[in-house]
Amino acid sequence: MNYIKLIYLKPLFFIVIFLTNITASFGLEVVIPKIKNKQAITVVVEKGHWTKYLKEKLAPHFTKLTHVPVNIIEIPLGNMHQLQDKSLIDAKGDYDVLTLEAGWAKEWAAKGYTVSLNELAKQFDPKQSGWDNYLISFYPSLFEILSYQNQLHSIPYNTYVMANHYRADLFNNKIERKAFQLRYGYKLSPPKTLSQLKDIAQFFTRKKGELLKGKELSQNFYGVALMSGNKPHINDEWSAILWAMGGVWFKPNYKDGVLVNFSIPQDLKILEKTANYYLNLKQFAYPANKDFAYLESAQALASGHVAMWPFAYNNLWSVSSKLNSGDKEQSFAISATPGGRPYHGAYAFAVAYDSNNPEAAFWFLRFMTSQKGQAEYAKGGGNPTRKDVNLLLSSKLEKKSPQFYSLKTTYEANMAWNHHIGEYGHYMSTAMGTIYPLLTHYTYLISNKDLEIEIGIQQLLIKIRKAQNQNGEKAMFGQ
Amino acid sequence: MHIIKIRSQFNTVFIFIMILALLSFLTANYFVRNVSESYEGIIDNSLPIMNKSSEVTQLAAQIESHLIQLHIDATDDLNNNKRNHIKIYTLTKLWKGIDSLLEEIILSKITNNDEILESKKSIQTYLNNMPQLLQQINLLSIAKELEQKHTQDIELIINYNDKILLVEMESFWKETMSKTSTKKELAQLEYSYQFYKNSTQLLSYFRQTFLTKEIKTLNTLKRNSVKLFNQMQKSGSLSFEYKLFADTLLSKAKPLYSGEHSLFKIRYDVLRLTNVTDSLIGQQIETTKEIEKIADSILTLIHNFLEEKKIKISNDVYKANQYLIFMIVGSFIISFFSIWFLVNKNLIKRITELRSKILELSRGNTDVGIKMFNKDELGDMEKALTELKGYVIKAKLLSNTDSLTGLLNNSQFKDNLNNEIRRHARQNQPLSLAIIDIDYFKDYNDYYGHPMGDKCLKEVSDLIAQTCKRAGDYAYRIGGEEFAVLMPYTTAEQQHLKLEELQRALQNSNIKHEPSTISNAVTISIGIYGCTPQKDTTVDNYYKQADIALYQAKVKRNSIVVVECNK
Repeated sequence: MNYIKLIYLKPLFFIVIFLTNITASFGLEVVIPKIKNKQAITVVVEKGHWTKYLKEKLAPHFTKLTHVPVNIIEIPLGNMHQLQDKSLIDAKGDYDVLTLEAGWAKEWAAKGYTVSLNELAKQFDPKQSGWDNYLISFYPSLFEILSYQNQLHSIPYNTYVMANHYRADLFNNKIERKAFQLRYGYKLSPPKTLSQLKDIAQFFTRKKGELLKGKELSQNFYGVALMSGNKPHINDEWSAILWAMGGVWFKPNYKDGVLVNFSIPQDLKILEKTANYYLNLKQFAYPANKDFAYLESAQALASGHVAMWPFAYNNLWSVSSKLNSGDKEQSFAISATPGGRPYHGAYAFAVAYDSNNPEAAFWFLRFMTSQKGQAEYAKGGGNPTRKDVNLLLSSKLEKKSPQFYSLKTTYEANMAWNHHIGEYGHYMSTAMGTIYPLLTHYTYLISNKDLEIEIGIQQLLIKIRKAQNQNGEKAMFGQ
Repeated sequence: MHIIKIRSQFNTVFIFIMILALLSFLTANYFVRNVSESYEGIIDNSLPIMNKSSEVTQLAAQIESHLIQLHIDATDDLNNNKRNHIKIYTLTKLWKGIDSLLEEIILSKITNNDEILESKKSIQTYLNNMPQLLQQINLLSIAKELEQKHTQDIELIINYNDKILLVEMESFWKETMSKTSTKKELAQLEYSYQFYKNSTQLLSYFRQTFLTKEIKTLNTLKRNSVKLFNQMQKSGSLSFEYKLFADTLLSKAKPLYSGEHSLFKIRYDVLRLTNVTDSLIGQQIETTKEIEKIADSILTLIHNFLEEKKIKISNDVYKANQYLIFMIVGSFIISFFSIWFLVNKNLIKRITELRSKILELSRGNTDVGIKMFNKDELGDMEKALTELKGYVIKAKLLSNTDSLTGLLNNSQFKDNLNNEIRRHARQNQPLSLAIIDIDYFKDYNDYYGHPMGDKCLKEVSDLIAQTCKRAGDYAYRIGGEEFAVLMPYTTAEQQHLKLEELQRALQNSNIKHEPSTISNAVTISIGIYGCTPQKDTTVDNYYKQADIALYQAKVKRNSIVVVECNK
C-alpha cells in the first residue's frame, strides 16, 4: 500500500518542483534596469560550443537592451586560471566577468578577486527584482561551493557532477546477464556500490578472442575507463571513491555554525582502503598513459573498448554517448555513480573586483545565466546548473536519450549533495588552489605505483596540512 | 606410672603464658610492620608520580608561557628567523620533556591512560610539525616585514602628497587667482584639487588597510582603491602641468595596490597567517591546559588514593588493635584460667580439701571421701591420706569394739543409743533396746575356765551378731557376759520375736553348761525395752528400763521380758 503511494508521490513531487521552477523563472525572467555605466565589458568564457551563441546572440541582445558593448574572450579551460589570475593580481581590469572553476571560487573570493554578488545585487538591483527567485532556480549545493563567508561570489553555468556512463547493450544482453548471475550470484545491473562496480568491471574485462555478447573479441575489452593519467581528474575519481567509503581528505570543523579550522583524519584506514580499491579497479581499466583523462575515457567508451566509465563528468555525455564501436547494438545510458558521492563541481561566472563596469558585468552575468541563457547552453550539450532548465529540457527529451540520462542523473546527484557540501574540507578550503594539485600529484604517484600507498598518503596529508596552513585562512590540525 | 610434677605443671603453664605473650608481641609487631610497609609502598609508588605530575604541570606552564610569548612576538612584533628558531627549539625540548614524563606516568598505570595517550598523540603531532610552525611564523614575519615596508612607502607617498601635490595645487590656485585665468587653467585647478582630494582618499584607504582585521572589509578597501585609482588614472588632460605630479604619485602608488606583494595581498596574508598561527599556537596552548588538567587530575587521584589508603590503613589498624586487644585479653584470660586451674583447682583447692579431710580424719570422722585427682605430689598426699584413713578406721574400730567378740563396746553403745534416741525422738519412731545376759556365766567360767568362758562369749556374740543382720541393727558387748541389741524403727514386740530366734539358735548350738541349774546348755536372759523416745528421754532412763526388764528376766532365767513405755 505504502509502496503504491510512493510510486505516485515521486513523480508528483517532481512535477510540483518543475512547475514551481518554471513559473518562477518564466514569470520573473531577467528584467535589466537602465545601466548608467555604458563602458564596454570584457567577458571571459570557456572556449567551446556555447561561445558562438554568446557572441552572436546573447551579447548583442544584451548590448541592444543596455547599450553596453560586450567583448567576449574565449579561452581554453587549461589557460583560464593563469590568464585571469595574472590580470587580477596586477589589478589590470582586463576582465569584467570572470570564468572560474568551483575549486578556485573560495580562494578567489577570499583574495578579493571576485565581488560578492549579494552586494552587487544590493547595489545595482535595489529592489532585488527577481534576485531571490533567480537564485532559487539553481542547485543549492553549487551555491554552497561557490559562496564565501555566506556571500555568493559566482553563478554556476556548467555542472560537471559525475555519473556512470555505460554500455546499456552489454547490461541488457541475455548471455552476459546469465553469465554474470551465475558467477556473482546477483543480477547484472548498473553498479550502485563500489563492490558491485569491482565485480562488474572484473566481469567485463576480457582478452582478445574471448566472447562478449556471444561474439569473439578482436581486441582486449575492459570493464572500466579510469582517468588515471597525471591530470587533475584522477583525484576527482579518488574523491568520489573516498567519499563513497565515508572518508574525507580533510574535515572542516565548526563552532556555532562558523568554520573554525580543518583537521586531517587521524585514522588513515579509509584513505588506504580507497587507494587499494583504486589500484584493484585499475586492473580492469582500459590502459592509460600519463595523459589519459576525461576525453580519452569518454572516447574509450564511445569506441567500444570499455563497458563503463563509472566516474564520468556528466557534462561529457555528448562525447561518451557516441556510438563508434561499429557494433550496431551499441547503446548508451547513464546511471548514478557507484557509492552515491560523485565528485561535484561547476564552472561559474563572477564579477572581477577590478572591473571597470561592475554594474554591467553583474547584469550580463545574470543575463547569461538566465533560464534562456542556460537553455541555450544546454541545447549545445552543456550541463545546465539551473533546475528549471534541467526539468524543462528533460520533459522535452526522449526518455532514453543520452542527454535525458545526463540531465536526470545530474539533477539527482546535485540534489543529493544538498546540505552536505559543508561536511567536506575539499569544498570549504580557500587553499584548494594549492591543495588540488597536491591531490593530483600524489593520487597519480600512488595509482602509478611510484609511491607505496601508506607513504604516499602520509606525505600527501602532511603536504595538505602545510598547504592549508600556509595558503588558507583557517588552520589545519592533525598528523 | 608417670607422674607429672607440679613444678613441671608450673613450668608448662609459665611457658604457655610466655608463648601467648610472645605470640601477642609478634602479632602486634606483624601488624605494625604490615601497616608500615603498606604506607611505605604507597609512598614509594605515589611520590614519584606526584613529582612527575608536578613536573608535567610546571613544564606545561612553561610551554604555555613560551607559546604566549611566541604568539605575541609573531603577531605584534617584528621578529627574526633566528629568534623564532630558538623559540621553536626550546618548545621542542619542553614538549619532549613532557612527552617523556607522560610516558613514565603511563607506565605507572596509576590512571586512565586514554587521555594521556591522546595528549601524547597531540604532542607527537606538534613535534612533527614544529618545522612547519616555524615556517608559518617566518612567513608571518616576512608578511609583517613587507607590511612594515608598505607603511614606510605609504608615508613617503603621503609626504609626496602633502609636500608636492598640495603645494603644487596651492601654487596653481594662487597663480590662477592672481590673474584672469583661462578655461584650461581653471580646469587644471579643478583637476588638481580633485586629484589631491582623491589621492588623499586613496592614501586613507591604504592606511585603513593596515588597521582592518576583516577580510571582507579589506576586499572592499581593495575594490574602492582600485576603482579610485582607475578614476584618478583616467582623469586629467595630458597637457596639464599638474598631471606630471599626479602621474608620479600614481606610479608610486601602483606597486602598493597591485602585484604579488600589494598591500592588500600582504594584509590578507598577515590576517590569514595570523589567524592560522593563532590557531596552531592556540591548539598547543589548549593541549598544555589539557595536560595541566590531566596532571591535576592525577594529583587529585593520588590524593584521593592516599586518603582511601589512609582510611583503609586506619581501619586495618583499628581492626588489628581490636584483634590485639582480643588476643591480649584472651591471653590474659587463658593465663588467668591456666593459673587458676593450676593453683586454685590443682593446688589450693586440693590442699584445702586435703587439709579439711585431714582435720576430719583427725577428729575421727572416717566417712571423709578421699579422691586422688592427679598423679602428682598432692596425689601422693591424697594417696597417703587414703591409707591413713584406713588406719584411722582400723584404730577407731578397735576403740569401739570389743576385742574378744568383735561386737561394739559399751562406749559405742552409749553414743549410739544417745544418737538413736535423739533421732527417733525427732522422727517420732519406735526404738527397741534389748539387754542380754548369759545365765550363770560366772559358774561357767569357774567350771570350764576363762579360755572356755571367752570361747562361750565369742560363740554367743556371733549368734547375736547374726541375729542383727538388718541394716541399722547393732549388737554391743556392754559388760562381762552382758550384751545389748539396739534395733531402730522397731517395736519391743518386733524385737522380741527376733530375739526368740536368737534363743532358739542358742539352744540349737547347744553349748554345754554343766554348772547351769536350768539347762545343760548355755542360756540367755533378755530384757527388752521398746518405746518411741521423747525429747527429754535420756540414755540412762532408756537403759534403766531395759535393765529392769532384764532383771525380771533374770529372775526366771532363759527368758525374755518385754517392757514397753506406751503400755
